[in-house]
Amino acid sequence: MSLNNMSLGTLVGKQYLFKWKAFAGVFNSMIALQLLAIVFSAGGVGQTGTSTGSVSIDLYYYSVDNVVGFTMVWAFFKSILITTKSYRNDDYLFVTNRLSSNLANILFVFSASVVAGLTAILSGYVIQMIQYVQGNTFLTEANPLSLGEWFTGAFATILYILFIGALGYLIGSVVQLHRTLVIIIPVALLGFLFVYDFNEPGMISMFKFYFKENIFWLFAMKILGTVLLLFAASMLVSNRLEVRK
Amino acid sequence: MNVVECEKVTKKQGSVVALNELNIQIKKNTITGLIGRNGAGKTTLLKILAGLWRPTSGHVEVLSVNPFNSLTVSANVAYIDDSMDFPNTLTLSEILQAGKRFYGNWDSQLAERLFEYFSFHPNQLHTHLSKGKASTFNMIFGLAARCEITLFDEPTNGMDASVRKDFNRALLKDYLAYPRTMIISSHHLEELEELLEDILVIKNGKELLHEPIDVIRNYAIGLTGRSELVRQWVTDKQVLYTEEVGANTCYAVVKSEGIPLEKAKQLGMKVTPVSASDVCVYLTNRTTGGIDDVFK
Repeated sequence: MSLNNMSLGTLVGKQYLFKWKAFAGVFNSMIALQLLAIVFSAGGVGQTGTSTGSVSIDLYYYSVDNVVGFTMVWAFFKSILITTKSYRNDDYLFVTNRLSSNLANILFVFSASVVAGLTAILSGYVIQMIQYVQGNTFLTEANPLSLGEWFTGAFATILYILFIGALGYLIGSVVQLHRTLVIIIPVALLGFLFVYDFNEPGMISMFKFYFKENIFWLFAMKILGTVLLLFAASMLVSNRLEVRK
Repeated sequence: MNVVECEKVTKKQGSVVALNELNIQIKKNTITGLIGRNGAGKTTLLKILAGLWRPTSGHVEVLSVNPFNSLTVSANVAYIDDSMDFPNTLTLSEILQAGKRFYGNWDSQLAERLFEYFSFHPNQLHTHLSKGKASTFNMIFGLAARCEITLFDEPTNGMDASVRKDFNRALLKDYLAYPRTMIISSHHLEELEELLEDILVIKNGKELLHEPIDVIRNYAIGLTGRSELVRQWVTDKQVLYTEEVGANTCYAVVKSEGIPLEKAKQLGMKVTPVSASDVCVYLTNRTTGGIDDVFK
Protein backbone atom coordinates (compact mmCIF):
# COMPACT_ATOMS: atom_id res chain seq x y z
CA MET A 1 0.00 0.00 0.00
CA SER A 2 1.28 3.43 -0.86
CA LEU A 3 1.97 5.85 1.94
CA ASN A 4 -0.41 8.74 2.24
CA ASN A 5 1.73 11.83 1.73
CA MET A 6 0.31 15.25 2.26
CA SER A 7 2.09 18.58 2.21
CA LEU A 8 1.61 20.94 5.14
CA GLY A 9 -0.10 23.52 2.92
CA THR A 10 -2.68 21.11 1.53
CA LEU A 11 -3.39 19.72 4.96
CA VAL A 12 -3.86 23.16 6.55
CA GLY A 13 -6.29 24.03 3.75
CA LYS A 14 -8.30 20.87 4.38
CA GLN A 15 -8.31 21.42 8.11
CA TYR A 16 -9.36 25.04 7.65
CA LEU A 17 -12.37 24.00 5.57
CA PHE A 18 -13.18 21.29 8.11
CA LYS A 19 -13.18 23.90 10.88
CA TRP A 20 -15.90 25.94 9.24
CA LYS A 21 -18.07 22.91 9.66
CA ALA A 22 -16.80 21.68 13.01
CA PHE A 23 -16.75 25.10 14.71
CA ALA A 24 -19.98 26.35 13.12
CA GLY A 25 -21.55 26.56 16.58
CA VAL A 26 -19.43 29.57 17.58
CA PHE A 27 -21.31 31.75 15.10
CA ASN A 28 -24.63 31.00 16.79
CA SER A 29 -23.38 32.60 19.97
CA MET A 30 -21.98 35.52 17.96
CA ILE A 31 -25.36 36.22 16.34
CA ALA A 32 -27.14 35.93 19.69
CA LEU A 33 -24.73 38.38 21.34
CA GLN A 34 -24.91 40.88 18.49
CA LEU A 35 -28.72 40.80 18.49
CA LEU A 36 -28.68 41.37 22.22
CA ALA A 37 -26.35 44.34 21.76
CA ILE A 38 -28.63 45.78 19.05
CA VAL A 39 -31.57 45.58 21.46
CA PHE A 40 -29.51 47.34 24.13
CA SER A 41 -28.59 50.05 21.60
CA ALA A 42 -32.18 50.72 20.53
CA GLY A 43 -32.72 53.35 23.21
CA GLY A 44 -29.47 55.11 22.35
CA VAL A 45 -26.07 54.46 23.85
CA GLY A 46 -25.91 57.90 25.48
CA GLN A 47 -28.07 60.90 26.19
CA THR A 48 -27.55 64.54 27.14
CA GLY A 49 -30.24 67.11 27.64
CA THR A 50 -30.24 70.89 27.99
CA SER A 51 -33.04 73.43 28.34
CA THR A 52 -33.25 77.22 28.25
CA GLY A 53 -36.57 78.71 29.07
CA SER A 54 -39.27 76.94 27.17
CA VAL A 55 -36.86 75.23 24.79
CA SER A 56 -35.39 71.90 25.76
CA ILE A 57 -33.08 69.78 23.68
CA ASP A 58 -32.43 66.09 24.28
CA LEU A 59 -29.55 64.51 22.44
CA TYR A 60 -29.49 60.75 21.97
CA TYR A 61 -26.41 58.98 20.68
CA TYR A 62 -26.77 55.93 18.54
CA SER A 63 -23.77 53.78 17.60
CA VAL A 64 -22.53 50.27 17.10
CA ASP A 65 -20.19 50.58 20.10
CA ASN A 66 -22.23 48.11 22.12
CA VAL A 67 -22.25 45.62 19.29
CA VAL A 68 -18.51 45.93 18.75
CA GLY A 69 -17.93 45.60 22.49
CA PHE A 70 -20.03 42.45 22.73
CA THR A 71 -18.35 41.07 19.63
CA MET A 72 -14.93 41.60 21.21
CA VAL A 73 -16.02 39.69 24.31
CA TRP A 74 -17.27 36.93 22.02
CA ALA A 75 -13.99 36.92 20.05
CA PHE A 76 -12.05 36.45 23.29
CA PHE A 77 -14.09 33.52 24.56
CA LYS A 78 -14.46 31.87 21.16
CA SER A 79 -10.68 31.75 20.84
CA ILE A 80 -10.32 30.24 24.30
CA LEU A 81 -13.06 27.75 23.45
CA ILE A 82 -11.33 26.42 20.33
CA THR A 83 -8.17 25.68 22.33
CA THR A 84 -10.09 23.47 24.77
CA LYS A 85 -9.76 19.72 24.76
CA SER A 86 -12.90 18.74 22.89
CA TYR A 87 -12.40 21.25 20.08
CA ARG A 88 -8.67 20.59 19.81
CA ASN A 89 -9.15 16.83 19.72
CA ASP A 90 -11.35 17.15 16.63
CA ASP A 91 -8.18 17.60 14.59
CA TYR A 92 -6.47 14.58 16.11
CA LEU A 93 -9.23 12.26 14.93
CA PHE A 94 -8.00 12.91 11.41
CA VAL A 95 -4.60 13.77 9.96
CA THR A 96 -2.76 16.56 11.73
CA ASN A 97 0.22 17.67 13.70
CA ARG A 98 0.38 20.48 16.19
CA LEU A 99 1.71 22.98 13.67
CA SER A 100 -0.98 22.34 11.05
CA SER A 101 -3.72 22.31 13.67
CA ASN A 102 -2.56 25.67 15.03
CA LEU A 103 -2.22 27.18 11.56
CA ALA A 104 -5.73 26.10 10.62
CA ASN A 105 -7.06 27.51 13.90
CA ILE A 106 -5.27 30.79 13.30
CA LEU A 107 -6.75 31.05 9.81
CA PHE A 108 -10.13 30.34 11.33
CA VAL A 109 -9.68 33.09 13.97
CA PHE A 110 -8.71 35.49 11.16
CA SER A 111 -11.79 34.65 9.09
CA ALA A 112 -14.11 34.63 12.07
CA SER A 113 -12.82 38.10 12.97
CA VAL A 114 -13.61 39.35 9.47
CA VAL A 115 -17.12 37.90 9.64
CA ALA A 116 -17.71 39.25 13.15
CA GLY A 117 -16.27 42.68 12.33
CA LEU A 118 -18.37 43.06 9.20
CA THR A 119 -21.60 41.98 10.88
CA ALA A 120 -20.85 44.32 13.80
CA ILE A 121 -20.35 47.28 11.45
CA LEU A 122 -23.37 46.37 9.35
CA SER A 123 -25.49 46.16 12.49
CA GLY A 124 -25.34 49.99 12.40
CA TYR A 125 -27.86 49.84 9.58
CA VAL A 126 -30.13 47.59 11.64
CA ILE A 127 -29.98 50.14 14.46
CA GLN A 128 -30.80 52.93 12.01
CA MET A 129 -33.65 50.92 10.60
CA ILE A 130 -35.13 50.30 14.03
CA GLN A 131 -35.03 54.06 14.66
CA TYR A 132 -36.63 54.75 11.30
CA VAL A 133 -39.46 52.35 12.03
CA GLN A 134 -39.95 54.05 15.37
CA GLY A 135 -40.33 57.39 13.56
CA ASN A 136 -36.85 58.73 14.29
CA THR A 137 -36.19 59.69 10.67
CA PHE A 138 -33.69 62.40 11.47
CA LEU A 139 -30.98 59.86 12.25
CA THR A 140 -31.30 58.09 8.94
CA GLU A 141 -31.09 61.35 7.04
CA ALA A 142 -27.74 62.24 8.59
CA ASN A 143 -24.68 62.52 6.39
CA PRO A 144 -23.63 59.08 5.24
CA LEU A 145 -20.02 58.01 5.59
CA SER A 146 -17.75 58.19 2.61
CA LEU A 147 -16.69 54.85 1.21
CA GLY A 148 -13.14 55.36 2.45
CA GLU A 149 -14.34 56.16 5.96
CA TRP A 150 -16.58 53.14 5.95
CA PHE A 151 -13.79 50.81 4.94
CA THR A 152 -11.34 52.27 7.43
CA GLY A 153 -13.92 51.88 10.17
CA ALA A 154 -14.71 48.30 9.21
CA PHE A 155 -11.04 47.37 8.90
CA ALA A 156 -10.19 48.91 12.27
CA THR A 157 -13.08 47.03 13.89
CA ILE A 158 -11.89 43.76 12.38
CA LEU A 159 -8.37 44.44 13.64
CA TYR A 160 -9.58 45.07 17.20
CA ILE A 161 -11.62 41.89 17.17
CA LEU A 162 -8.69 39.95 15.75
CA PHE A 163 -6.40 41.39 18.41
CA ILE A 164 -8.71 40.28 21.22
CA GLY A 165 -9.15 36.91 19.49
CA ALA A 166 -5.39 36.36 19.29
CA LEU A 167 -5.04 37.27 22.96
CA GLY A 168 -7.76 34.74 23.84
CA TYR A 169 -6.02 32.08 21.76
CA LEU A 170 -2.73 32.58 23.61
CA ILE A 171 -4.42 32.48 27.01
CA GLY A 172 -6.34 29.37 25.97
CA SER A 173 -3.17 27.67 24.74
CA VAL A 174 -1.29 28.44 27.96
CA VAL A 175 -4.17 27.17 30.08
CA GLN A 176 -4.05 23.82 28.26
CA LEU A 177 -0.50 23.19 29.48
CA HIS A 178 -1.55 22.22 32.98
CA ARG A 179 -4.93 21.89 34.60
CA THR A 180 -4.05 24.11 37.56
CA LEU A 181 -3.63 27.01 35.11
CA VAL A 182 -7.41 27.01 34.61
CA ILE A 183 -7.60 28.57 38.08
CA ILE A 184 -4.29 30.41 38.23
CA ILE A 185 -4.61 32.42 35.03
CA PRO A 186 -8.08 33.94 35.55
CA VAL A 187 -7.19 34.73 39.18
CA ALA A 188 -3.91 36.32 38.10
CA LEU A 189 -5.63 38.38 35.40
CA LEU A 190 -8.38 39.59 37.73
CA GLY A 191 -5.89 40.32 40.48
CA PHE A 192 -3.83 42.27 37.99
CA LEU A 193 -6.87 44.40 37.11
CA PHE A 194 -7.40 45.29 40.76
CA VAL A 195 -3.82 45.82 41.83
CA TYR A 196 -2.31 47.39 38.75
CA ASP A 197 -2.21 51.17 38.50
CA PHE A 198 -3.39 51.87 34.98
CA ASN A 199 -2.04 55.42 35.15
CA GLU A 200 1.45 54.06 35.30
CA PRO A 201 3.62 55.58 32.51
CA GLY A 202 4.32 52.18 30.91
CA MET A 203 0.63 51.46 30.52
CA ILE A 204 -0.08 54.95 29.18
CA SER A 205 2.63 54.71 26.56
CA MET A 206 1.44 51.26 25.55
CA PHE A 207 -2.10 52.57 25.26
CA LYS A 208 -0.84 55.46 23.15
CA PHE A 209 1.23 53.09 21.02
CA TYR A 210 -1.81 51.06 20.05
CA PHE A 211 -4.83 53.27 20.30
CA LYS A 212 -3.68 56.87 19.72
CA GLU A 213 -2.14 56.17 16.36
CA ASN A 214 -3.51 58.61 13.82
CA ILE A 215 -1.94 57.15 10.72
CA PHE A 216 -4.16 54.24 9.78
CA TRP A 217 -1.70 51.94 8.10
CA LEU A 218 0.75 52.36 10.96
CA PHE A 219 -2.03 51.38 13.37
CA ALA A 220 -2.85 48.39 11.21
CA MET A 221 0.80 47.31 11.13
CA LYS A 222 1.12 47.60 14.91
CA ILE A 223 -1.99 45.51 15.54
CA LEU A 224 -1.16 42.90 12.91
CA GLY A 225 2.42 42.63 14.16
CA THR A 226 1.21 42.07 17.71
CA VAL A 227 -1.37 39.53 16.53
CA LEU A 228 1.34 37.55 14.75
CA LEU A 229 3.51 37.61 17.88
CA LEU A 230 0.59 36.37 19.99
CA PHE A 231 -0.09 33.53 17.55
CA ALA A 232 3.58 32.59 17.35
CA ALA A 233 3.70 32.39 21.14
CA SER A 234 0.59 30.18 21.14
CA MET A 235 2.18 27.81 18.62
CA LEU A 236 5.33 27.67 20.68
CA VAL A 237 3.59 26.75 23.94
CA SER A 238 1.29 24.15 22.40
CA ASN A 239 3.82 22.41 20.17
CA ARG A 240 4.75 19.83 22.81
CA LEU A 241 1.24 19.26 24.09
CA GLU A 242 -0.02 15.70 24.54
CA VAL A 243 -3.46 15.19 23.07
CA ARG A 244 -6.46 12.84 23.32
CA LYS A 245 -5.80 12.28 27.01
CA MET B 1 11.01 -4.83 7.72
CA ASN B 2 9.91 -3.36 11.03
CA VAL B 3 7.35 -0.57 10.95
CA VAL B 4 7.43 -0.05 14.70
CA GLU B 5 10.54 0.02 16.84
CA CYS B 6 10.63 0.87 20.52
CA GLU B 7 13.82 0.91 22.48
CA LYS B 8 13.81 1.35 26.25
CA VAL B 9 10.64 3.39 26.10
CA THR B 10 9.56 4.74 29.47
CA LYS B 11 6.47 6.79 30.13
CA LYS B 12 5.79 8.30 33.51
CA GLN B 13 2.52 9.94 34.37
CA GLY B 14 3.07 11.72 37.62
CA SER B 15 4.55 9.10 39.91
CA VAL B 16 3.01 6.20 37.99
CA VAL B 17 5.26 4.40 35.55
CA ALA B 18 2.99 3.37 32.66
CA LEU B 19 5.74 2.00 30.45
CA ASN B 20 8.98 0.75 31.88
CA GLU B 21 11.89 0.45 29.43
CA LEU B 22 9.75 -1.31 26.89
CA ASN B 23 11.42 -2.84 23.82
CA ILE B 24 9.31 -3.99 20.91
CA GLN B 25 9.51 -4.45 17.18
CA ILE B 26 6.51 -4.98 14.95
CA LYS B 27 6.96 -6.39 11.48
CA LYS B 28 5.24 -4.91 8.43
CA ASN B 29 1.90 -6.44 7.42
CA THR B 30 1.14 -8.41 10.55
CA ILE B 31 -1.78 -8.40 12.93
CA THR B 32 -0.52 -8.24 16.47
CA GLY B 33 -2.64 -8.65 19.55
CA LEU B 34 -1.57 -6.41 22.40
CA ILE B 35 -2.61 -8.26 25.52
CA GLY B 36 -2.36 -7.10 29.09
CA ARG B 37 -4.32 -6.43 32.23
CA ASN B 38 -6.04 -3.14 32.91
CA GLY B 39 -3.34 -0.58 33.52
CA ALA B 40 -0.58 -2.67 31.97
CA GLY B 41 0.25 0.19 29.58
CA LYS B 42 -1.58 -0.88 26.42
CA THR B 43 -3.27 2.46 25.75
CA THR B 44 -0.15 4.41 26.67
CA LEU B 45 1.90 2.41 24.19
CA LEU B 46 -0.65 2.85 21.37
CA LYS B 47 -0.96 6.59 22.00
CA ILE B 48 2.79 6.97 21.85
CA LEU B 49 2.90 5.00 18.60
CA ALA B 50 0.15 7.21 17.17
CA GLY B 51 2.21 10.30 17.99
CA LEU B 52 -0.37 11.65 20.41
CA TRP B 53 1.78 11.31 23.52
CA ARG B 54 5.49 11.75 24.13
CA PRO B 55 7.57 9.08 25.86
CA THR B 56 9.40 10.29 28.96
CA SER B 57 12.56 8.61 27.72
CA GLY B 58 13.63 6.06 25.15
CA HIS B 59 13.52 5.85 21.40
CA VAL B 60 10.40 5.29 19.28
CA GLU B 61 10.27 4.90 15.53
CA VAL B 62 7.12 4.41 13.52
CA LEU B 63 7.53 4.13 9.74
CA SER B 64 11.18 5.08 10.38
CA VAL B 65 10.37 8.45 11.98
CA ASN B 66 9.71 9.75 15.46
CA PRO B 67 5.90 9.66 15.64
CA PHE B 68 5.37 12.65 17.94
CA ASN B 69 4.23 15.64 15.90
CA SER B 70 4.99 13.83 12.64
CA LEU B 71 2.71 14.47 9.67
CA THR B 72 3.77 11.24 7.96
CA VAL B 73 2.80 9.20 11.01
CA SER B 74 -0.48 11.05 11.46
CA ALA B 75 -1.41 10.54 7.82
CA ASN B 76 -0.55 6.83 7.84
CA VAL B 77 -1.54 5.71 11.32
CA ALA B 78 -5.15 5.45 12.40
CA TYR B 79 -5.68 5.27 16.14
CA ILE B 80 -9.16 4.04 17.01
CA ASP B 81 -10.40 3.97 20.59
CA ASP B 82 -13.74 4.36 22.33
CA SER B 83 -13.26 7.99 23.28
CA MET B 84 -13.37 9.46 19.80
CA ASP B 85 -15.46 12.61 20.17
CA PHE B 86 -16.40 13.66 16.69
CA PRO B 87 -17.77 17.22 16.53
CA ASN B 88 -21.49 17.51 17.10
CA THR B 89 -21.88 19.74 14.09
CA LEU B 90 -21.15 16.82 11.77
CA THR B 91 -23.51 13.96 10.99
CA LEU B 92 -22.19 10.43 10.62
CA SER B 93 -22.09 10.63 6.83
CA GLU B 94 -20.32 13.99 7.00
CA ILE B 95 -17.69 12.45 9.29
CA LEU B 96 -17.05 9.79 6.67
CA GLN B 97 -16.80 12.46 3.96
CA ALA B 98 -14.29 14.34 6.11
CA GLY B 99 -12.32 11.12 6.51
CA LYS B 100 -12.18 10.78 2.75
CA ARG B 101 -10.71 14.26 2.41
CA PHE B 102 -7.98 13.57 4.96
CA TYR B 103 -6.94 10.01 4.20
CA GLY B 104 -5.44 9.42 0.76
CA ASN B 105 -6.24 5.68 0.70
CA TRP B 106 -9.78 6.09 2.08
CA ASP B 107 -12.15 3.41 0.78
CA SER B 108 -15.56 5.06 0.37
CA GLN B 109 -17.18 1.94 -0.94
CA LEU B 110 -16.19 -0.14 2.05
CA ALA B 111 -17.27 2.64 4.39
CA GLU B 112 -20.67 2.92 2.75
CA ARG B 113 -21.27 -0.81 2.66
CA LEU B 114 -20.35 -1.34 6.29
CA PHE B 115 -22.36 1.77 7.20
CA GLU B 116 -25.39 0.24 5.59
CA TYR B 117 -24.79 -3.28 6.89
CA PHE B 118 -24.69 -2.10 10.50
CA SER B 119 -27.78 0.02 9.74
CA PHE B 120 -26.55 3.44 10.68
CA HIS B 121 -28.59 6.48 9.79
CA PRO B 122 -26.65 9.06 7.74
CA ASN B 123 -28.04 12.02 9.68
CA GLN B 124 -27.34 10.64 13.12
CA LEU B 125 -24.91 12.41 15.43
CA HIS B 126 -21.99 10.50 16.88
CA THR B 127 -22.84 11.58 20.44
CA HIS B 128 -26.29 10.05 20.14
CA LEU B 129 -24.92 6.59 19.37
CA SER B 130 -24.94 3.92 22.05
CA LYS B 131 -21.58 2.63 23.24
CA GLY B 132 -21.63 -0.43 21.01
CA LYS B 133 -22.84 1.54 18.00
CA ALA B 134 -20.15 4.16 18.53
CA SER B 135 -17.50 1.43 18.69
CA THR B 136 -18.87 -0.06 15.49
CA PHE B 137 -18.80 3.31 13.74
CA ASN B 138 -15.23 3.95 14.91
CA MET B 139 -14.26 0.55 13.57
CA ILE B 140 -15.73 1.44 10.16
CA PHE B 141 -13.77 4.69 10.27
CA GLY B 142 -10.56 2.87 11.14
CA LEU B 143 -10.95 0.23 8.44
CA ALA B 144 -12.01 2.64 5.69
CA ALA B 145 -9.07 4.96 6.44
CA ARG B 146 -6.93 2.09 5.18
CA CYS B 147 -3.81 3.39 6.85
CA GLU B 148 -0.46 1.66 6.66
CA ILE B 149 -0.72 1.11 10.40
CA THR B 150 -4.05 0.75 12.16
CA LEU B 151 -4.15 0.77 15.94
CA PHE B 152 -7.33 -0.49 17.58
CA ASP B 153 -7.54 0.15 21.31
CA GLU B 154 -10.12 -2.25 22.71
CA PRO B 155 -12.27 -1.91 19.61
CA THR B 156 -15.01 -4.29 20.66
CA ASN B 157 -15.94 -2.41 23.83
CA GLY B 158 -19.69 -2.40 24.16
CA MET B 159 -20.35 -4.43 21.01
CA ASP B 160 -22.73 -7.34 21.28
CA ALA B 161 -21.59 -10.85 20.43
CA SER B 162 -22.80 -10.91 16.83
CA VAL B 163 -21.32 -7.51 16.02
CA ARG B 164 -18.02 -8.70 17.49
CA LYS B 165 -18.06 -11.67 15.18
CA ASP B 166 -18.87 -9.43 12.22
CA PHE B 167 -16.14 -7.07 13.27
CA ASN B 168 -13.57 -9.85 13.32
CA ARG B 169 -14.62 -11.09 9.91
CA ALA B 170 -14.69 -7.62 8.36
CA LEU B 171 -11.26 -6.91 9.76
CA LEU B 172 -9.80 -10.16 8.51
CA LYS B 173 -11.31 -9.85 5.03
CA ASP B 174 -10.11 -6.29 4.61
CA TYR B 175 -6.68 -7.25 5.91
CA LEU B 176 -6.40 -10.08 3.40
CA ALA B 177 -7.48 -7.82 0.55
CA TYR B 178 -5.21 -4.96 1.62
CA PRO B 179 -2.43 -6.26 3.87
CA ARG B 180 -1.24 -3.73 6.37
CA THR B 181 0.02 -3.57 9.91
CA MET B 182 -2.55 -3.76 12.66
CA ILE B 183 -2.19 -3.74 16.40
CA ILE B 184 -5.28 -4.64 18.37
CA SER B 185 -5.30 -4.27 22.11
CA SER B 186 -7.65 -6.30 24.22
CA HIS B 187 -7.89 -7.96 27.56
CA HIS B 188 -9.85 -10.91 26.31
CA LEU B 189 -7.86 -12.80 23.79
CA GLU B 190 -10.26 -15.66 22.99
CA GLU B 191 -12.46 -13.60 20.72
CA LEU B 192 -9.51 -12.24 18.76
CA GLU B 193 -7.49 -15.42 18.61
CA GLU B 194 -8.55 -16.42 15.10
CA LEU B 195 -7.36 -13.06 13.75
CA LEU B 196 -3.98 -12.71 15.28
CA GLU B 197 -0.62 -13.76 13.94
CA ASP B 198 1.53 -12.45 16.76
CA ILE B 199 0.84 -11.81 20.37
CA LEU B 200 2.56 -9.20 22.46
CA VAL B 201 1.90 -9.56 26.15
CA ILE B 202 2.78 -6.66 28.38
CA LYS B 203 2.71 -6.51 32.12
CA ASN B 204 3.42 -3.52 34.34
CA GLY B 205 4.73 -1.54 31.37
CA LYS B 206 7.24 -4.18 30.27
CA GLU B 207 7.09 -6.61 27.41
CA LEU B 208 6.64 -10.14 28.71
CA LEU B 209 6.26 -12.17 25.58
CA HIS B 210 6.20 -11.45 21.87
CA GLU B 211 5.62 -14.61 19.87
CA PRO B 212 3.54 -16.00 17.02
CA ILE B 213 0.19 -17.28 18.21
CA ASP B 214 1.15 -20.93 17.57
CA VAL B 215 4.04 -20.68 19.96
CA ILE B 216 1.70 -19.33 22.61
CA ARG B 217 -0.79 -22.12 22.01
CA ASN B 218 1.94 -24.66 22.84
CA TYR B 219 3.54 -22.50 25.48
CA ALA B 220 2.14 -24.30 28.50
CA ILE B 221 0.41 -27.50 29.55
CA GLY B 222 -1.98 -28.28 32.35
CA LEU B 223 -1.35 -31.13 34.78
CA THR B 224 -4.07 -32.54 36.98
CA GLY B 225 -3.46 -35.15 39.62
CA ARG B 226 -3.09 -35.92 43.30
CA SER B 227 -2.02 -32.76 45.09
CA GLU B 228 1.18 -34.09 46.72
CA LEU B 229 2.30 -35.66 43.50
CA VAL B 230 1.65 -32.62 41.29
CA ARG B 231 3.07 -30.10 43.77
CA GLN B 232 6.16 -32.18 44.31
CA TRP B 233 6.66 -32.88 40.64
CA VAL B 234 6.47 -29.24 39.50
CA THR B 235 8.81 -27.75 42.09
CA ASP B 236 11.75 -27.59 39.70
CA LYS B 237 9.63 -26.45 36.76
CA GLN B 238 8.31 -23.06 35.67
CA VAL B 239 4.86 -22.94 37.24
CA LEU B 240 2.43 -20.37 35.89
CA TYR B 241 -0.58 -21.27 37.95
CA THR B 242 -1.82 -23.76 40.52
CA GLU B 243 -5.28 -24.39 41.79
CA GLU B 244 -6.95 -26.90 44.12
CA VAL B 245 -9.73 -28.31 41.97
CA GLY B 246 -11.25 -30.78 44.36
CA ALA B 247 -10.53 -33.03 47.29
CA ASN B 248 -6.82 -33.70 47.17
CA THR B 249 -6.63 -32.86 43.47
CA CYS B 250 -4.47 -30.14 42.06
CA TYR B 251 -4.32 -28.42 38.68
CA ALA B 252 -1.01 -26.86 37.73
CA VAL B 253 -0.02 -25.01 34.60
CA VAL B 254 3.65 -25.28 33.70
CA LYS B 255 5.74 -24.04 30.84
CA SER B 256 5.76 -26.94 28.38
CA GLU B 257 9.40 -26.53 27.38
CA GLY B 258 11.37 -29.60 28.48
CA ILE B 259 8.52 -31.31 30.30
CA PRO B 260 8.62 -35.11 29.95
CA LEU B 261 4.96 -35.62 29.08
CA GLU B 262 5.11 -39.40 28.93
CA LYS B 263 6.57 -39.58 32.39
CA ALA B 264 3.88 -37.34 33.73
CA LYS B 265 1.24 -39.56 32.25
CA GLN B 266 2.88 -42.66 33.69
CA LEU B 267 2.78 -41.07 37.11
CA GLY B 268 -0.98 -40.79 36.74
CA MET B 269 -1.32 -37.10 35.96
CA LYS B 270 -3.78 -35.92 33.35
CA VAL B 271 -2.12 -33.73 30.74
CA THR B 272 -4.30 -31.10 29.06
CA PRO B 273 -3.50 -28.33 26.60
CA VAL B 274 -3.81 -24.73 27.76
CA SER B 275 -5.45 -22.27 25.39
CA ALA B 276 -3.56 -19.17 24.28
CA SER B 277 -5.94 -16.93 26.13
CA ASP B 278 -5.48 -18.86 29.38
CA VAL B 279 -1.73 -18.67 28.93
CA CYS B 280 -2.03 -14.91 28.70
CA VAL B 281 -4.22 -14.74 31.78
CA TYR B 282 -1.76 -16.82 33.80
CA LEU B 283 1.21 -14.88 32.52
CA THR B 284 -0.28 -11.52 33.39
CA ASN B 285 -1.59 -12.55 36.80
CA ARG B 286 0.14 -11.16 39.79
CA THR B 287 2.44 -13.83 41.12
CA THR B 288 1.03 -14.02 44.62
CA GLY B 289 -2.55 -13.98 45.69
CA GLY B 290 -5.81 -13.64 43.84
CA ILE B 291 -9.15 -12.01 44.47
CA ASP B 292 -9.92 -14.66 47.11
CA ASP B 293 -7.10 -13.39 49.29
CA VAL B 294 -8.76 -9.98 49.54
CA PHE B 295 -11.70 -11.51 51.38
CA LYS B 296 -9.70 -13.68 53.78
